[in-house]
Amino acid sequence: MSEEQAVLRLQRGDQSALTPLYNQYAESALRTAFLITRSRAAAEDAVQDAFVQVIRNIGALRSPAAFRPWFYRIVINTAKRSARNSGRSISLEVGPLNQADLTALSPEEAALSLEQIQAVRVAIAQLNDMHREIITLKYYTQLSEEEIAGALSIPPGTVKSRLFRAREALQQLLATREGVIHS
Amino acid sequence: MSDEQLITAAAKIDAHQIHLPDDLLQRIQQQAYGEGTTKPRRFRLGPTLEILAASLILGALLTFGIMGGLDRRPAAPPTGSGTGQSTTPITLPRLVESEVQSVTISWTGAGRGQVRVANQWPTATPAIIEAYNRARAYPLSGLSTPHITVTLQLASGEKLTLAILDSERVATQVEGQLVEIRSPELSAALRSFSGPFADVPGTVAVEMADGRGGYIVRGPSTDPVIVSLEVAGQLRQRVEAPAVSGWYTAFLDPIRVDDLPKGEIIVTTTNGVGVTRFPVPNSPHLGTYSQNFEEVFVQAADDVVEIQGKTRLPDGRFLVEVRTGEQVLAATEVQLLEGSRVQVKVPGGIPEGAEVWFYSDTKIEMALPIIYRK
Repeated sequence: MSEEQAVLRLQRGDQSALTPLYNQYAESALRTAFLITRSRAAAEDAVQDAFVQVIRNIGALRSPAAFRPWFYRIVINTAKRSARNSGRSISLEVGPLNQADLTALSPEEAALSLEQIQAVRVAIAQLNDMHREIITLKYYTQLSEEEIAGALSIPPGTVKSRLFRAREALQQLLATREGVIHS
Repeated sequence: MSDEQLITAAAKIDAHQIHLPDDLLQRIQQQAYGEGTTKPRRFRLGPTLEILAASLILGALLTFGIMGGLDRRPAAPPTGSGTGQSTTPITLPRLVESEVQSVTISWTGAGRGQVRVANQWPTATPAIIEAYNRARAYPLSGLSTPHITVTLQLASGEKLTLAILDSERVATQVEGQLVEIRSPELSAALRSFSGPFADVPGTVAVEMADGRGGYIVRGPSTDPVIVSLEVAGQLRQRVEAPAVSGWYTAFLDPIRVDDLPKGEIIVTTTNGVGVTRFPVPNSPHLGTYSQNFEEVFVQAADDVVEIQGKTRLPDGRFLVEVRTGEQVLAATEVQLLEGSRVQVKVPGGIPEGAEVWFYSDTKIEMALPIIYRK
């Protein structure tokens, strides 16, 4: 069953159509929510709430083809709310990398310097919520900038400027860290 | 190697540290369709103070109130559209319309408030009572955080309180037991009073709009809302925001930094009944505005940070840190009561980019950058 067919069937009240959509999106949604909330518990709650909202509001989705950004918008909003409800927690601790982590990466990515990847991980964790959110959407969910605009309800130009600022903030954090290491 | 590859790799590694729980799909189906065989939801205390406060309010009002004004006849067969599958025996008493004198709605969270809906009396109240009497057939287990409570004042002097949990569920209490009932009808009837704040009140998000400046105001609603910007009580801007897919979004123009302390964003239902007010934020951090603050302003002069604000914590006490990044420049406990103005001295002065972090207990409530100075 294609994604569009699943969406149409869900709109018609076919409960079985939830499963293919869940299989396709749940894992990515959980990881997106985790990157935003920095909390496993909050991320699970967010994904649960997001799918429930999808079921309840699927009738409002005019174009089944637009499901992806629409879904991620719900995930982001529920993740933010979940983070808020679980208390504002800022986790600056990022565990060390080990070989097993590299299975998540493509061969090309796995060939990158572990030290640099680790530095970027720490820097992403230190970004403010808004910047971490846009970095997550761009580089993890790999939504297009147009889809990100839809997901965040902001103009495409704002996506570009926000991404620019987020990358700039990352670079500053990395530069600071490098300065600390070298000094 | 490019920065983009590094960022992608880092995001992937972080995200792959968690995996889908086996029962998540069943939990979703249980919550959405009332099906499944496993636990409906992982129970989590969440914002303890809010749950405690809400439970106490419900408990206090209902323990003293529900028994006298209610008819104890057995329930009629369910005829509403409630979809609860619980087999719990029906225990909620029937409400007698003639006994209800008035209805008061209050909501918690940022922009909390209260309104008496005498202006809609008596047309709306029978709908609530009818929906309640049908919905009482669907008691559900579990407890979420109620944000809105609707209090029905009975002729006997007693009160019945209903708390909206979300668009389908309402909580009430009988014989000391707090129960949820699933009824889109009842929730909708209550929402006719409280407008967009019934679904997720207190989660109206106000964010700085970058690029063109100004603010993005958004929140859950199935109906259009009016979003206004006032400075010192004077209307600066008024926007009608349509509801799309259960959310409204409004864009507001920026205001001068000097006007920030006097600025207020007001979200109003189109019928004018529900009103939520927010101070204009001076920080993007206020997009995740802590519900324990009504308003907080931070400004700096030389080596002193001055904090003025009003909190919802009973004793108003917070631990405050002045920081740049991970470096703590000064830390002290402050008490913010209505109109309080406290000063934190920062030895060596306040560098650009400094922030003030507020903690209650062990969690960070809010972080505000120091962006304007005397």
